[in-house]
Amino acid sequence: MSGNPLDKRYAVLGAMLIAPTVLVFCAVIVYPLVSALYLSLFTIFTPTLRGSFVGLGNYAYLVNSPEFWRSLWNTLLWTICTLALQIVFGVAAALMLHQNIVFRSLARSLILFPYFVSTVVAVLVWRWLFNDLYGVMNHLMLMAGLIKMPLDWLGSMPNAMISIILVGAWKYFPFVVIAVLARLQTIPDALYEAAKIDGAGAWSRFVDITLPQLRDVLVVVVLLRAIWDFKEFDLIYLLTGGGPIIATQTLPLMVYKDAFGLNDMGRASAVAVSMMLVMLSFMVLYLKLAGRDERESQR
Amino acid sequence: MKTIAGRIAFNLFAWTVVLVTAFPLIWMILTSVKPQFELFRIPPTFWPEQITFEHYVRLIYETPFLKYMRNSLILGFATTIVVVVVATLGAHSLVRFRYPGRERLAQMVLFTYLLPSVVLILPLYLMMVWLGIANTIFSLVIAYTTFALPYALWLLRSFMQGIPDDLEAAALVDGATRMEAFVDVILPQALPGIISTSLFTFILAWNEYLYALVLVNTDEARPLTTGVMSMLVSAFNIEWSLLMAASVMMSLPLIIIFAFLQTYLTRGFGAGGVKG
Amino acid sequence: MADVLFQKVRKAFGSAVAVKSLDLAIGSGEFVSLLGPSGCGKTTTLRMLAGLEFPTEGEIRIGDRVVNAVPPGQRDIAMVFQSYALYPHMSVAENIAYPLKKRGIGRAERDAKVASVAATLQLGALLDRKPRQLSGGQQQRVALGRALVRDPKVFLLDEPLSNLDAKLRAHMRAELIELHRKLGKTFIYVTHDQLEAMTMSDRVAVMHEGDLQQFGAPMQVYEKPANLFVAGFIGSPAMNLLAGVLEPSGSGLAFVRQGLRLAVGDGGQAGQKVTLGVRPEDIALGSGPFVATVRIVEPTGHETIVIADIGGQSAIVRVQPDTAYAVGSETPFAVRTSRLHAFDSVTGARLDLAFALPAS
Repeated sequence: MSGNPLDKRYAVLGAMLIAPTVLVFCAVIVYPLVSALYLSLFTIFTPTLRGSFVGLGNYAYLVNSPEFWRSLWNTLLWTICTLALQIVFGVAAALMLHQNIVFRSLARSLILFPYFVSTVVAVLVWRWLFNDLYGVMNHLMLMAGLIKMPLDWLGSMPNAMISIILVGAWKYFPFVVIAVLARLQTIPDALYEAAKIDGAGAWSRFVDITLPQLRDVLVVVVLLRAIWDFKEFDLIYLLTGGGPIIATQTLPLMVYKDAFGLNDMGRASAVAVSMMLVMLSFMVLYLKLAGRDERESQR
Repeated sequence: MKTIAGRIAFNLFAWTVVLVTAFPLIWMILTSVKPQFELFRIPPTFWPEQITFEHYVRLIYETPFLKYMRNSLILGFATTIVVVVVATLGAHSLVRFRYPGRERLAQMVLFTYLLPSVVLILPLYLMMVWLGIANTIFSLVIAYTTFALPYALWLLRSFMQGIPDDLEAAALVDGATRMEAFVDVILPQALPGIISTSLFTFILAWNEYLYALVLVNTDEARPLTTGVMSMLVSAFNIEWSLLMAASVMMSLPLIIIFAFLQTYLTRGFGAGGVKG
Repeated sequence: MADVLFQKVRKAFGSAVAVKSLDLAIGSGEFVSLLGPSGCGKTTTLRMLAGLEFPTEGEIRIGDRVVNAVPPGQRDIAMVFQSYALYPHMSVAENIAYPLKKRGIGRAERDAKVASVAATLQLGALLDRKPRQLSGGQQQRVALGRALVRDPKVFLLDEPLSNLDAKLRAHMRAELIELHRKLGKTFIYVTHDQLEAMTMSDRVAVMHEGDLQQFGAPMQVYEKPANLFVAGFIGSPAMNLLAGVLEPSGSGLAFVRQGLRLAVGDGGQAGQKVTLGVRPEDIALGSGPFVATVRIVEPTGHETIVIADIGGQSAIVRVQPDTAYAVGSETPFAVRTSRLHAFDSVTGARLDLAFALPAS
């Protein structure tokens, strides 16, 4: 930084413009984040907000709590399955919508809508579709002869887990569609024409041209969606509430239950912090792997 | 795909997929205009035998729906205005000014963009109780900035990076101060980006559930998301057509945005959501 | 009196130095080009003068005022950008009026000035259009108009013609010269195109790697390049640079390299490594003491370019189109000794040596 007075004046102006952002960040993000770490060292009774210091007691409790490990397992299962479906359907739908079909923009709007619609709306509609007596799902499956008796979609296992995974895939795959579609439009046609001249069939064109071109965008999409799915609360809470018992309870739901159901805000914070640590370690691992792949593919 | 038959088959297939995807939403609309008794037909009817708007009327006159909607509108607009104003100034600063710590700040924005709400929500809850503003729409506006501000900042930053540096330089040479250049040149150029960001922020605020669940438990301040769910829980027997009518009403702003402003949504995605 | 003065100006971006230590005095009403390859520091120099970058060290003056800390808008300058930087949301008239508006000039006067500038630049019919509805040439005129309307002391032009096609560029060059003559203001013109610099400027400042290499009238820079870089950069086709060494010869010295031997009048030392500079037009094929092999013949119509091998190095020769040269043939040649240049191969600095052909 030079000592020029005008340069300094500009820097001060820049700092003033960013100041509101920094203030808000400190108040609603940095302070709560630190505070969450601090709270996790106490046991706090939610209604009175009184508590006592327990050190790492909450964490020790969690390590020995089967419920915590079950919730972590559920979280991973849900994240991996729903993410895999989102990616597969998302890429497929994007490839489809990239083709010239009639009323393409209307088709795109319809595909994108689930992503933007409120989770509350999505859940209400799906609970109605899953309704055991009058729900369309049961009716259609009975008609098709896939099942003999109406299914309990949300109240029994493994149906409940499958249901949330399916609804999660339905709600969030459009994100993949938009991202992939945007990337597809930037792949030059000349690449495909060159491959055609070289005698590549449709499948090998997809594998040798489309997929490598999509690689970067998919790396980002998988990362973002994995993080968002991992911390998903609304959809699971509203569909099953974590039930039956804790069969679909993920970590975010456990945080909520510990804080406001079991009234222990300290332990809830410990769960939240642990969850964040798990997420961070997966993220670091993933970025390392993606980075190494990248270097290898460039070699 | 060269033959006409192949083309027709592909179109049929594609549209089947599209309609299956959209089916839940179509079903929502159809259910909302069926009379209550028609819901319990086995097999279910697809097209309503009789179209009725009685559920919408009941929703408006006999439930607190309008109150929730008012709350959601206030919440959505307030959040959008606060977040977009703060983020526009912040993004401009991050893109066009030089000062120590700027890069680190930009990285921090990205990090917070990925932070789980459940980690922040307990301290935020305690903070609202301590400030004495729990159970107000205002407390939700503050809470919503935790996810909306990093998002808006990131989005606007990408948009503003797309505005050539020369434009501001030209304004400065032409005699504008930095702030005048911002108002006269940068803001008009960033307008499409600001509109995109506003739409995204509004949708985020409109759809949010968890903070509303934890921070607000009176009908006076409750937004649509928790409000409509409380209608489901409190009802003795669930009136699906009423809930579907509520869902349709709740999706109205979205439908309007989709119908008229969709380009801004997709553009926003290109700029901020994902960059290859 | 100097209108623009750089004194020991240095500009570093972090560890990268863009301008090393620049001293430059530009007279009032001069047309000066800053010429150099990309990355030579010419644009940074211009932007520092405009107040868009701030010098790390040194002083910049416009008139008798030190402007280091004066905001761009108060420096009494106007600038035309390479990208034109027209405000896309404003009409042509609003674009041209913007600098006046920022100076608090009233509407009536603004309109009058815009109209007069528009008349000068033949933009009258386009005033209500938006920049994106204009062709490249028209946009360029609007950018010029926005600079003209202010009547500033100094005009800064950053590669203003580089986005135009060749024909329009030649036309605009003439127009800019005409404009400069009419206004009598100081023009500082950044370009990487030597043809623009040579044809338009009163003086050319050649820059390379953040250093000013030479500052002089176009013909002076061409005839007496100060160092190897300027010698190689100015002139198209480029000057032939032939490395050799000074050897004792009889009572004096001789420049010697493979296929070439020239007597040196005075100056220089035996054993000194010297690079000989010969412009393509200063080699005469057909007769002379040396022999070259013709490699390539490129007729362009009004002249022919011959690329010939002189002692293992190819050299470019400009010849009249009426003589035919067979590729692969050997031809004798001579050099015009009064027009030769010599440079120290190590330091690159110009040496004042007088050459003579060997006595045949």
